[in-house]
Amino acid sequence: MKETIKVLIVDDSKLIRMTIRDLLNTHFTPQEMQIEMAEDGDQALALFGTYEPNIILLDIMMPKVDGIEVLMHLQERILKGEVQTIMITGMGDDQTLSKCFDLGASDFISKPIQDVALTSRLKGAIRQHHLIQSLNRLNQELTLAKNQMVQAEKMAAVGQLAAGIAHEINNPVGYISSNIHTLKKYYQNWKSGKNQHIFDLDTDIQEIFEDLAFGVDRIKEIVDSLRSFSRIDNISEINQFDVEQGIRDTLNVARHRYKYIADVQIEFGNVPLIYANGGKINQVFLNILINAADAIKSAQEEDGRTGQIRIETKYISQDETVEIKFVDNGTGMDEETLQRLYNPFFTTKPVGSGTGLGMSLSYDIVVHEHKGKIMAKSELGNGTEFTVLLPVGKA
Amino acid sequence: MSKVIAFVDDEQQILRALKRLFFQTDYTCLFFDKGGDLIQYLESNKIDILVTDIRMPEMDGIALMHAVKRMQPKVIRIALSGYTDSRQILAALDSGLARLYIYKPWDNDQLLSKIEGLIRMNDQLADPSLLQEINGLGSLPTIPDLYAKITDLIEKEASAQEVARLVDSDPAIAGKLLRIANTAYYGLHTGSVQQAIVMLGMSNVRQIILTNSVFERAAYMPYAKDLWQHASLVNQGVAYLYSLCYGKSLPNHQGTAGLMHTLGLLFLATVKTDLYLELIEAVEKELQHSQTDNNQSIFDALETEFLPVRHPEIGSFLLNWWELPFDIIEVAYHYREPKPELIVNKELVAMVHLVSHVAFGLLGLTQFQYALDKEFCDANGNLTRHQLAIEDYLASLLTN
Ligand SMILES: Nc1ncnc2c1ncn2[C@@H]1O[C@H](COP(=O)(O)OP(=O)(O)OP(=O)(O)O)[C@@H](O)[C@H]1O
Ligand SMILES: [Mg+2]
Repeated sequence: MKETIKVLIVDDSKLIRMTIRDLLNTHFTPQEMQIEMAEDGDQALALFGTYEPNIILLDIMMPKVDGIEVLMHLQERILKGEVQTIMITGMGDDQTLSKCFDLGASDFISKPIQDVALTSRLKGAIRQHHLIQSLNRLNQELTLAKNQMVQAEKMAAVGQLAAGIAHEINNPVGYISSNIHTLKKYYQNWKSGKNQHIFDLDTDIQEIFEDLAFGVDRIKEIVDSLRSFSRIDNISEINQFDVEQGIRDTLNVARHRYKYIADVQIEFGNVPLIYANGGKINQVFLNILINAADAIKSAQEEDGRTGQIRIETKYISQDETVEIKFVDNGTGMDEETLQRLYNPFFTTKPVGSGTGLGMSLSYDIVVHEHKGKIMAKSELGNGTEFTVLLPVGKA
Repeated sequence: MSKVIAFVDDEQQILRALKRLFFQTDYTCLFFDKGGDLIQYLESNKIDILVTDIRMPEMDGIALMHAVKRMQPKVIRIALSGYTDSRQILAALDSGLARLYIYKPWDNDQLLSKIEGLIRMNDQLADPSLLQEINGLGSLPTIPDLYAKITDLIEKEASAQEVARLVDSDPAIAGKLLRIANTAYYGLHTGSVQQAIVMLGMSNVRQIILTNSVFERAAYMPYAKDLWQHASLVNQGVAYLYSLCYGKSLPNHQGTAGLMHTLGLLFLATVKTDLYLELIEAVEKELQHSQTDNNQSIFDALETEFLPVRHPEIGSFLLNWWELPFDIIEVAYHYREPKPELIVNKELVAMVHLVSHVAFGLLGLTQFQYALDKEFCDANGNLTRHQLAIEDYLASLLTN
């Protein structure tokens, strides 16, 4: 069933109120339309809050609070499309009428009230009301969907990373476990007096220990770095954050994404700690880094260039800001891509490999959550430079 | 002469660990940290086995296996990788590019025994006397055209849609795929080849095409229908048993182990029909004379007498020749009389051993029956406790 449309008739003339109500009642059933009336602007505004009309038929000229004033009070609701207003005008209201339209009135009807004019205007207003309602609903759904996508994107990014990280860890675990097994064998042989080892046991065992230590360090490094990403979803976790450590962590976690693609060069300016949500800032670094690796990879497929990523940090004291630069020698971007870079869902990557949310999320995190700045300089064919500015103090 | 194994991995530590592990074995081991170096080496030297990492700079493991396959097709190619579910690696396995996929971290003893088992099986199947017998059998079933094309598509990681388009060009195969996908195990009710392909998985589709080419030729042989029914029952039963035991579904590349395990039998029936019929007649006669139960392996005893090659050997030979996953070859070789010390994937062989025995019994195909090795079944997955459940399940499939 369709909802009942709530109409409010505001006029100081009882005759006009009655005429309008009676005319409406002949065209609409009580299920279709509920009608309330007010005799001046004050009463109308008082009723508005409890009754919440969808359509107001509003006289312009009224004693005390007139139509214009009512419109001004309801400005916000009118602009949001929550209520449609149809002005009731007399002779010579032309100038005021145009002001009403500026204030958001949607239509008008002139006195004396005529049946056809009234009903057709009302039907128009009802149509508009429905349209706006479904727009609102769509918008809500879209927002919800976007939020879900954003969440999914975070998960997907983490999931994709997880597979790569598992691989990074499985390698050292592979040789650690194998070596432990080998050591056990050596030990058993030694205990049973079977010293049939052919190469120099001493050097071999020393080498095993070195390999074990190397592997364990490697795993420890990855796990430590991961820890700083695990806070991504604690929204309000603002803490002292070491930007340079964050970059190191990001490099560790994403190593499998760039190690066969580019050399990474770091120039740290020994910047101060900043107040930030470290997990989220790391997420930004990760997005930029992975984009750079992707861009280099595509460029390599074209011309086989050697990949280079440079990461710099610098403290800008007069602004109390930390500047982080990511420079890559990948494909670069054309004007159009640069323009749309931060749009949600904008991607030039093949279906299934990019959701196009990386930079839009990053923008949100840097600009909205940390009151920082993010800028891209790029030229097609010549690589890209991203600059992130983050204030040292609390945002 | 000792076998030559080449190991390729970009991490020195991995290579050193492997070196220590293989030091006391009889293999001649070579270690390369770049695929390119191995390629260069192969220009003037031969190897028998390649064990390679997948993710490597410059030349990755997939490209390396392709190159090695081109240069020395007989080399057994094994992937050793830390990725557990990489599409790329599974495709390599499905298409026969890699015969085995070993995960990092590996277990030293298992790695040794897997490689050992693989080599042993390979040697057995390349044994000159076997080859001679097989050559004497006449024409081997050649690989169907369609199969080669599908292998190609799988290697390219093509979509189900593309494969469906190809399969649709052969109505007989398309029909068979649909029939299999619509069986109770897959539980699909579809007329769409594409859906069937998604359901079955590309590797199984490819293997079904292969079996079909053999079954097709055998279609008019006595018992061919029964054996086909038996094979598809076993295939479903094994999948069911696997999920009972391990709570997950059978890995894709083992998905047709049941369908394939009696392939040799059908092949022999087609190329040596007379001998095969004589054999069955003899088995039936024996069966009448003997008390049923303890003589269950009459077939095996007589098979050697009547036929030049035993069907497990010829079956696994064909599967190996077609480059099917090692697990499936091993099942075809060992399903009747499993010898644990010779088997790498004992769990899978044990499952097929049990289910196939049950299915022969249910279908009343006593001629082909063999003795059940309960000890083996229990040592590898504690299987006999599921025997009744399997019987019920297969019976329910039959009545449906
Ligand atoms: N360093 C870069 N070099 C070249 N192009 C880039 C670079 N960074 C971003 N882009 C372009 O901007 C687009 C949007 O990037 P964004 O990170 O938002 O999404 P994505 O990387 O495509 O997908 P996602 O990050 O969600 O997986 C990319 O598709 C790419 O075209
Ligand atoms: Mg991105």
